[in-house]
Amino acid sequence: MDESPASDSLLARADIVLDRALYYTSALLLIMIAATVMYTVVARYVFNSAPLWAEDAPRVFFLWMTYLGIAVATRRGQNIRVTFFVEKMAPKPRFYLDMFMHFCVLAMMVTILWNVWPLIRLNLAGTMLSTGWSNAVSWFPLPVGVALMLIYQSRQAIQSYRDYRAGRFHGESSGLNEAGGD
Amino acid sequence: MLLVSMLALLFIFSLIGMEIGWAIGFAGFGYLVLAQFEPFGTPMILFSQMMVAGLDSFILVAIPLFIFMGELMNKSGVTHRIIDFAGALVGHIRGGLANVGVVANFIMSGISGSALADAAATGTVLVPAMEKRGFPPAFSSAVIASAATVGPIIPPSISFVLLGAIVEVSVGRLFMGGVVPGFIMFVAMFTLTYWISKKNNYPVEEKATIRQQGNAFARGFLPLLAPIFVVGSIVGGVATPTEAAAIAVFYTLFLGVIVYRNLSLPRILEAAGLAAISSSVIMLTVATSQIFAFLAVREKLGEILTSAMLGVSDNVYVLLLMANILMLFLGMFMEILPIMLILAPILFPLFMKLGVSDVHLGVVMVLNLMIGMITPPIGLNLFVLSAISKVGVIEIFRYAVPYFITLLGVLMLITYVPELTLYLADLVIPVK
Repeated sequence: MDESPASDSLLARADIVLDRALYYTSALLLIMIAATVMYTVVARYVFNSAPLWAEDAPRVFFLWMTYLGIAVATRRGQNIRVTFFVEKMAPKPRFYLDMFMHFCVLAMMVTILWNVWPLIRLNLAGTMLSTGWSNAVSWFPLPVGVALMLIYQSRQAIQSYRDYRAGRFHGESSGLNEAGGD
Repeated sequence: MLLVSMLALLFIFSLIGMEIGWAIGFAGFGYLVLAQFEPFGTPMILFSQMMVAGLDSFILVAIPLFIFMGELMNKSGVTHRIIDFAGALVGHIRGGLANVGVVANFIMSGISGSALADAAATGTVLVPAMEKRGFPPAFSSAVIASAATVGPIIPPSISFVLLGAIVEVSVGRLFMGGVVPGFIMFVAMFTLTYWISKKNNYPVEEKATIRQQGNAFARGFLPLLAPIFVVGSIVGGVATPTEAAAIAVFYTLFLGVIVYRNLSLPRILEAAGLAAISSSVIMLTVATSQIFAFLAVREKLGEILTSAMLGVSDNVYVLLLMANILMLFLGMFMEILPIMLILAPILFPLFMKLGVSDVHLGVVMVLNLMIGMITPPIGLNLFVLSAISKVGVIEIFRYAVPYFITLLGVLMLITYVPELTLYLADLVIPVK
């Protein structure tokens, strides 16, 4: 089923907006981590009372930053991988290997998503004493990040397939079109 | 059987090009799938649980902060200041810009804490400049790739922070333990560069006047205070490693915004974004390695490895040599984080029982893994420099062989003379 150029360009724009939103959210979370940790040091030595949330809040921000950041890295193909051996392979076996690896990663992601819900339900019941936040705030970044990665990884697999069909496949299936500007 | 399958999956999927973090995860995932056919299979929920629990640690928060500091330094032009300073200092000595590369990396090591970041930052500036001055690009790349290995040995060091989190070693003592070995690495590589350059008659730069040297020092002085703040606050008990990293971030912001006036809000955001993504890639590896390490412990990999090593000899020197060979071998094929996360919980208890200090072993381990960064097929520093210079990895390694041999010599020295590591650590932060 072919998509019209208009919907294609709308999707592409939405994709770029999502990429940038995730990128800048990760950036802001890192700045918040730096600010909260610094505030703790200042509060301890200047006001003589470190906040109760000194370690808990930065840890929560850190988990959110990490899983949103991994999603961006997946989209942009910035994860570290070894291409030394596969570069020596012919395009056809390389394509099949690439698809197999996409399948393995997707299977892993689905398993993570499936199994995280009982953990979230379990943690929804409790709250952090220091912040008053639900314990589940530390667990939500995983399904959110993995769901985004699932989308990006699937798109990369589709892109590889299209490239292979068009005779353009050279194994660089990691990384979708650049968002630009970053 | 399950353990063998897990190790096989790790090697195969790492080498056939799956993202490193996911390759480690897939080895653990494969284990869990196969374990479902066992009478008391490990629950699959463990996988999701460890993906969060493995990262939920305050000390790990230091890693994105150190990377953020490095990015801010890059954005505010500190790399150029440091290269100029190194140039004014040693550019006139035989080897010229090659020596500058070694010195600049030594100075940068006190700022970024990451070998890859240092290799990329100095390589981008120096490799094209060296090519213009007539150095073979493969040699320029080899010098920078090798010189950057000192990064995680000199404090602050992301690798030491991570090691401190894995095996509960004092990060402050690890930082101090790395100072003398890092200095020895620097002297060894500088001497080697001088000797190679003299032999090949490589060019030198014009000698800077005292005034030029003073100006270059003044331009590079303030960034040099960052590592002093980091190490000083940890050693002085003023701050934890994570807090020290945050202090360093704010100091760098102060330099960029107030002193140099070249850090705008968009540039700060860009630096934060780049740091967040780089750190996330590392954290994916950390999270999946924790699953792998947990399952390896469950399958008694530590006991198997320990009895295999003790079966050969119970002499601590022989065991250290075997550990070095194992780490160097793995370093050729794997990225440093998984090796550290998998081997540290196994090797530390064994060697500590034999009387080896945790700080000494920590420095030996990181040095081993740094040497792995310049050995093919998986030498990340070689890849970075190859991307910059467009020279093949194997060609760069051919020029890096003398550095590889020199670093092996330093490794043996550090391994068998523990005082080189422990003297400063014991002096500054005595064991309680």
